[in-house]
Amino acid sequence: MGKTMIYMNNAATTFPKPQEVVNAVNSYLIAPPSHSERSGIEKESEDFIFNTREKLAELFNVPKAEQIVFTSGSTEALNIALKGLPLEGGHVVSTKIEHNSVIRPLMMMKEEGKIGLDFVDCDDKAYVPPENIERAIRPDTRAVVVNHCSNVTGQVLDIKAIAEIAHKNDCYFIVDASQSAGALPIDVVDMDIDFMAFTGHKSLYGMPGIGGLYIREGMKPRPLKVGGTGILSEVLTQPEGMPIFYEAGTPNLPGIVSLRAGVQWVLERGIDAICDHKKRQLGRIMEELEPIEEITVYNNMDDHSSCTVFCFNIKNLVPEEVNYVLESSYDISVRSGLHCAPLLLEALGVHPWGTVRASPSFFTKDEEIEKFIDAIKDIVKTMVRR
Amino acid sequence: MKVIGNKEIKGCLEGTNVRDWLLDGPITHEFIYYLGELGKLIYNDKLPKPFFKLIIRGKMTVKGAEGNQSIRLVLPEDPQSAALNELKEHIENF
Repeated sequence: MGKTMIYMNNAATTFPKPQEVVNAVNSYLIAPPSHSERSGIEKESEDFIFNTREKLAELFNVPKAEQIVFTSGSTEALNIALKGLPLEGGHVVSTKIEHNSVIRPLMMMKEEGKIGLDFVDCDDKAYVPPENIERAIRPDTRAVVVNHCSNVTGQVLDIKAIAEIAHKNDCYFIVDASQSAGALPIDVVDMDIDFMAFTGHKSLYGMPGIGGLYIREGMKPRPLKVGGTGILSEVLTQPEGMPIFYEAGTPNLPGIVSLRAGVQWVLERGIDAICDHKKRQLGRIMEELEPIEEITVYNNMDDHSSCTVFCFNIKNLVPEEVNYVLESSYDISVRSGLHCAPLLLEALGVHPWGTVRASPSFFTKDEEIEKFIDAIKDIVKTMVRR
Repeated sequence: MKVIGNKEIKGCLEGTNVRDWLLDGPITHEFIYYLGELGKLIYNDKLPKPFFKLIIRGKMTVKGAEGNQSIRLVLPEDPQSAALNELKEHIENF
């Protein structure tokens, strides 16, 4: 990406990363490798892995740091929960606002005849009222799986209310926090969450390829993979302690280093300050672009909005074309298409073309927001057929 | 002008068969009008980098922006290799 590119695709991957993240990864890569407990020098490695769990535990109010398992991202984390829990023969309730990281494993389980499955409806901004979840629960429902925050419209579900419904019906409660981790306050105790998947490369400002799963104490899904752990080598079966039970294989140490620095950065800035920055910028975009007749906006700024994305279409223009013009003529990077959330885009009535999504970050400058607004106004003025 | 690179664009929903061609030089105003000989040219010079779209009926849509070094080809599911060769030859004769 050229230096002049305005990056507005932070809902996919944040860029730039805080300098502290860049420095931490650089320091890690130029130091001798240390990735197990096999020698004294490697003690430092153990410390930073545990320290990263501690920082994540602080951010999400997880009672014990070892309840956080590192994974390659949300997809792997969700697969551990969905495939590792005893759901076979039962029914699962999920929603139409899910990402394919939830939809596809559930659909595979359904097609293999292992589960019954319902994706419940949302409203026209992607909010899922908790009562919709309650209505879908059957006597054989074993899990409720929901997205905390839509990656398409930024709508935030009422996690506490849904948790109450799930637990009242003896269901596991699984939350996909890919978009919300680092962007919105999360308290797994207060929200009564059993499993929460998160990724490091979005609002936790880490590298792609690192993420994790919070597992409520006492719950024990079957691991997706077993194998080398660097410790207890004399044991022929997978060590069952937490978190090693779920972490077979070489850990992604550069990723963990980046995640530690990213989470530290978020803790120091504070979620509220990060939210306020994005809310102010989204407010400016909405103020200028929402009233334009040729623009349809799919997000809003109500109480259920995370205020993280501007999701829109321009009359008579295919989203991909808007994306291409923004990139090729204005050097502005956004995202267009179905955003890996096909059920939601269908519910919004924009399947198969999708929408355009612009997502600022804490690092987006006000002048970049103004350039984006001007670019969209230009496109409407010069390209829309009337 | 020469075509020096070809990349399939996946996940682009404008068509099932989309590719970018990398050119050996920047796209100029003259080059855009030269390409326009192949079909219907829509040229928008009101944008910071003027944008063009060329519709070659039944064969493909070509688009790009002045000053950049690549063009995007939106092709039918089953593109005719003759049409691609014709476009390539036309570009190389510029």
